[in-house]
Formats: sequence, C-alpha cells, structure tokens
Amino acid sequence: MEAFSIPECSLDAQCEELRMEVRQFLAEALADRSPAQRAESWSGFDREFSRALGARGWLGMTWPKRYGGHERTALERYVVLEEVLAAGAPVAAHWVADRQSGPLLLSHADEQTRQRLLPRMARGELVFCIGMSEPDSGSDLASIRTRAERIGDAWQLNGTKLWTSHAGRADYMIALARTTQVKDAKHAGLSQFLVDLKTPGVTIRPVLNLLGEADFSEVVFDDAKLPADSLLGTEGAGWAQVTAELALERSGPERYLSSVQLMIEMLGAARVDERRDAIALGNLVADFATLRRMSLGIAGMLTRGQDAGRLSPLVKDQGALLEQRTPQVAHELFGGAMHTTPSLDAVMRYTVQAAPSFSLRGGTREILRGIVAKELGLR
Amino acid sequence: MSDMQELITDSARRLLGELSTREAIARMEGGGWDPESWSTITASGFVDVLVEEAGEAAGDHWSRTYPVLHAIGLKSLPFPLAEALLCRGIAATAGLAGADGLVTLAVQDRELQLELSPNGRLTVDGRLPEVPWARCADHLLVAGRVADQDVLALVGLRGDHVQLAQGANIAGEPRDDVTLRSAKAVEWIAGSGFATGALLRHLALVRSAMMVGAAEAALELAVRYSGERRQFGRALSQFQAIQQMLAMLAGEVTAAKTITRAAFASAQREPQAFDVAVAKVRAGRVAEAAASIAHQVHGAIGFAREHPLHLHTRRLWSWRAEAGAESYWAECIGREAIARGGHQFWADLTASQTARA
Repeated sequence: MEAFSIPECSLDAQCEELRMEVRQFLAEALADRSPAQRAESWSGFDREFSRALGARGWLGMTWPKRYGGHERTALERYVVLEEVLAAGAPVAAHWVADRQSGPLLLSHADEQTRQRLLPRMARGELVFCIGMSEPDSGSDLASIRTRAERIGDAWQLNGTKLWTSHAGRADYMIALARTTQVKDAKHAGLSQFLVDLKTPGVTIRPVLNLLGEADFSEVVFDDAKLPADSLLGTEGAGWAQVTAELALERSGPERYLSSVQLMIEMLGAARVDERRDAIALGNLVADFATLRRMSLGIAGMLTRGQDAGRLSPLVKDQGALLEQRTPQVAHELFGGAMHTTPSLDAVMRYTVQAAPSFSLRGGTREILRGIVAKELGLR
Repeated sequence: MSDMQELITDSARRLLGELSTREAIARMEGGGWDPESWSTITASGFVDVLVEEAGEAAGDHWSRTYPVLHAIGLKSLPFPLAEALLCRGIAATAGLAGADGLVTLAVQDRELQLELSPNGRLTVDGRLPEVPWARCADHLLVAGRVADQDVLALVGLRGDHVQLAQGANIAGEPRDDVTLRSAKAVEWIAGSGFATGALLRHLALVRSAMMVGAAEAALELAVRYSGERRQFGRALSQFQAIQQMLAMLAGEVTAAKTITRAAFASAQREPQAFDVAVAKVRAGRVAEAAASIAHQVHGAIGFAREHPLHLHTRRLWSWRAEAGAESYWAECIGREAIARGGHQFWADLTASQTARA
C-alpha cells in the first residue's frame, strides 16, 4: 500500500537553534506553572502569554511580513509548536488564530480585512474560535442549519453553534453557514463568515464540560447583521474552504501531545528496577517517538507545499490512540494512589477526564478512519 | 524516496517475487533447499547491498538496504538473503575478512564463551538456539568477549565441533539449534566495536523492515479481498465495520513503516540503538493488528492453507519474537527513560539523531 508513505523529514541547524531559544524562553515564562496546569495542554488560556509569544515573533510565523507575519518556514513553526506543547504552555488564546483562522483569512479575506486583523493576530491580541458544530450537526458537518441571508449589502445570520471552544473569551468566530439550499447537494450552498462576536444578536452561553470547565459554549445568532466583507472567499464554496481548514486543524503536533505531561510525571515516579514499569513506559516512549516522526513527516510535506490532507487523518487517529492509552497506562501502573506523587496524581486526574475529547475534537475517530478508508479505495 | 532507492525497490520486488513462488515456499517448509535459485540471488548483487562503498555518505548503505529487506517480507522469500546480506555488511564494516559460501549469524543477549590460546587460536563454545538457516550455511558469525575486548568471529558450520538440531519457526523457516564445542574460528577480529548487543540490534532492525513488508502484504490482500467478496448483496468494502477495521490497520502499518524507515535513515556506520528499539517495538506490534484484522476480513478462506494470507501472518508471528520481542526492547527503552527522568524526556526525544549515538 504505497498510498501511505510519510516521507522522512529532518530539521536543519537553524530549526534546532530556534528550539533552544524557545526552550529557554519557556523555562522562564512558565517557571511558576504547576504540572496540573501544564496538563491542560493546548486548552490552557492566557492572553498575556500569547502576546509574549507574539512579541517574540513566534505567531503567524509563516505569514507574509506585510500582514505582520515573519516569513519563516513551516518547519520552524513546527519546532515552536512542539516546544510550547511539550512545555505545557497555555496556548489556547492564539492557537486557533495561528493554526487555521489566519491562513484562512490570508486565502479568503479581502485586503482590508487582512490588513486590519492579521497583524493583531500575529501579535497574539485576537482570539478566534471555530464555528462548525451545531446541536444537530457534528460529524455530519454539511447538515448545518445556521443560515446567512443577503440583505442588501449585508448579511443576516440565524442559527446556533455548539461545542465552540473558547467562544466565551474569543473576539471573532469563523462560521460555516448555509447561504443557499441546493436540492440533493448538501455540500453546495455553504459559505464561511467572519463574525465579530460583539455583534448585536450574538449570544454566548458557556457549557460546562465534564471537568467542570467552561471551555466551550453555545453561540446563538438571532438576526445578527454582518457587513458585506464578512463573507470569506466565494459564496457557496464553503465546503471546499472548510475542508482545507480542517486539514490544517488535523495536521499538527497537538494531535499526539495532549497527554505528554502525564508521560513526564510517570517517568519521574516510576522505579527503574521495576520491570513492569519499564515495559509499559518503554512502549509509550516508542509510541511518542513514532508519532513525532509521523507528525514531523507531515510538517515536511506542508513545507514542500505537498497536500497532507490524505495522511493527516491517519496520523491524528494514531495520535489520539497514544493520547488515550497514556492515562490508561497511568492507571495500570499508579492507580489507587499507593505509589503516586501529588503532581502525578493531579495530572492523572486531569488527563483521564480530558481524554474522551481527544478522539472527538477536530474530527471523530470514525470520520478520520472513513477518510483513510476512502484513500484505501474502499469507498 | 531517492531514484536509487526506487530502482532497488523495483528490481528487488521483481526478482524476489519471481523466486517466492508457492512451490518454492512449500519446498522450504518441507526442509528442501534449491541451490539454483540461491545462486541466482547471490549473483544478483543484493547480498552486497549492505557493504559500504568507498566515498559514499555515511549510512547510505543502510538506506539502500531497507527496500531489499522490505521486499523479502512483502514476497515471503524462502531463502536466507536477509541473514546473508546482514553478515556480509557487518563483516565489511567491522573489517572482518569474509568467508566463502553462505554465512548466517547467532544473536543472543548473553555473552558467548570465547577462548584465545597463546598461539592466537580462537575457539568458541556454547549452545546457540534458533540460528536461522544454520543447516544450509557454511559459516556462522558470532560475537563475544576475550580479555575485555569485543570479538567478532566466523566459525565453520561443518565438522565434528558442530552439533545441529534442526527446527523451524512458526512460518516454517529453518531455525536450528547449534552447539559448538571448541569450534575454531576461521576468521576473527577484536576491538571492532561490534559487541554481543550489536548483532542483536542489527538483526532486530532487519526483522523490523521484513515485518513492515509482510504487514503491507497482508493489508493489500485484505483490501483487495474486501472489494471482491460480496455478502448481503454488496462488497465487504461497502460495510462501515470493515472500512473502519482496515483503516485502523492502515494506521498501524503506516506507523511501523515510518519509524522503521527512520531507523534506516538515521543509521550511520551502525544503526542507532534507540531507533532500532523503537522500530522493533512498533513493527512487532503491527503483527497483532495485521493478523487479527486481515484474517477477520478474509473470514474462513484466509484460514485455509491454500490461501496466501498465512504466508504473511505466520511470518509476522515468527519475526516479532525473533531478535527480541516488543517487551524486550520496550524494557530497554523504558529503563533508560526512567533512569533519565521525566524532565529529560522531551529533550531526549528531540535530540538530533547523531547526537544520540
């Protein structure tokens, strides 16, 4: 099955130099962050930290300079991403903007919007959220019912988005909405909109997750009026645009590193002369090494301008398996609190509860495997 | 993949495919040996693929060997090409004068007893279990220690000093127990840097590449069969349950392939210890998914001897246990990682390959 070959990718000296620089910065910036806080991984939210990263030039790294970007390579960006994730930095205030909303605006927003928003995003000042899921539309994204109607020059938005991460703290949403109903063609007639969340008619209600965090929200649009330039890209081309956006969302190292703090804590608490610990953790180290190779390979493809959309679902699925196996191994080795340390215990409690989301967000395991099956020629 | 690698991939698959007929495999499992086919293989040049060439970049000999080993697994080659090319490569790298005929190797994680007499005669004693293809081989490559020095030696496999008990692995490939009694080394070299563990590592990497090939073959068969077999009025491939299983298998195979190829790519004079361990863990683990999913998709026909699926699954079950099972290598990795501590985990994982050596 030669269809599934992830090309080798190695990092040059410039990337490794950057890594040391980032690592040093993080050691100082995160000195007071507890293991339990680090375990929040890319859900940790801190606008100040995001601005500090922006000030270093580590956001919007690959974007053109005229939009506040830094014109660095995708591999340099990759190094920054994996370092902040491994350190457990609070990155949620910029993650979506840097990963997908920025590139989306670069491709599909008008010049004025790009000038207005991208430099602020690259400085870590603007929080974006993803307006895809709805109460009746999760995996079946094309079945969304949020409608955008053209009223004169402007647009009017009605509908409800759900499970929108960080919407309560975000400045903007990029929302997928139906602009026309095309009979027997549900992927047609969708469009993407830039929504200022301060717009009248937008109501955001927090939804508590099982950890008790108000991380995601319900966002209701009730005759919310959007300006003409809020339409991103081409009217009716929303499905192609959102598919490209999802490819960005699925391709990064955050898709295998969500449980890395637990791994670090376990290695600290394990006993070197305990064979059971060594085998169980050695297996996980092997998985981390494997996923990093795969993830780096995807980054290499993106750097060369190759389409990684066929391979990234497979890597994300493998990554989520690792992320979810890690708390299970932690339970097997350290469950029952007899051999644990306070920090391991706290990180374990957090990670085991967060784990169900790892194979849901960004495309469920079943959707990802459906894409892989298509690549295998099965459907 | 480079042009060179593509060329090797194509020619290895063509030649080894031609020699891996069902009849040839059955003959091997019955204990037969076909000298004619073996001369075709030795004449092909693949046996020298792991011999470093003057002037080439460090590690190139490993990169070009991967496609040959992969093809051996993909085609279920019923000949000891993997062992032969590995022994030639090691001998060349170590500076050990070669020996005529077929050379195989014995790997173990315990030290072998070697004795050096004052007149410079080196003799080897010990029981070496499950030596691949020993009955067909002329010489055996072993590693051991003499006077605090690593020694690599070639011992003749014919004669009174050698006792051979024939056996086979699950796939029916020859794995013979060899007992040496004061067997004289025909060639040996001390201080070449190849210790007991080095032979084990080399064979582990070789088996990993072969397993990736075998797993890809099993996946390919399962995908093809799911499109041909119809039940309830539609092809199996139309069922979501089947699609999800095969996608899962594709993920496991791709993971094993990526990390195994990385271990070949990072190899210099020798492969990197950590990379080999990781590759053998993931390649070994693919056997479980490949066997369970590929057989499940095939149903009863895949359990029949006449169907070729078992050629691949029985090899996977054999090779995952050889040269250290997953638990052996995971324990090595785990001990090291625990000793280093959690705070070193990420730095070690991202350390550049050459720095790790």
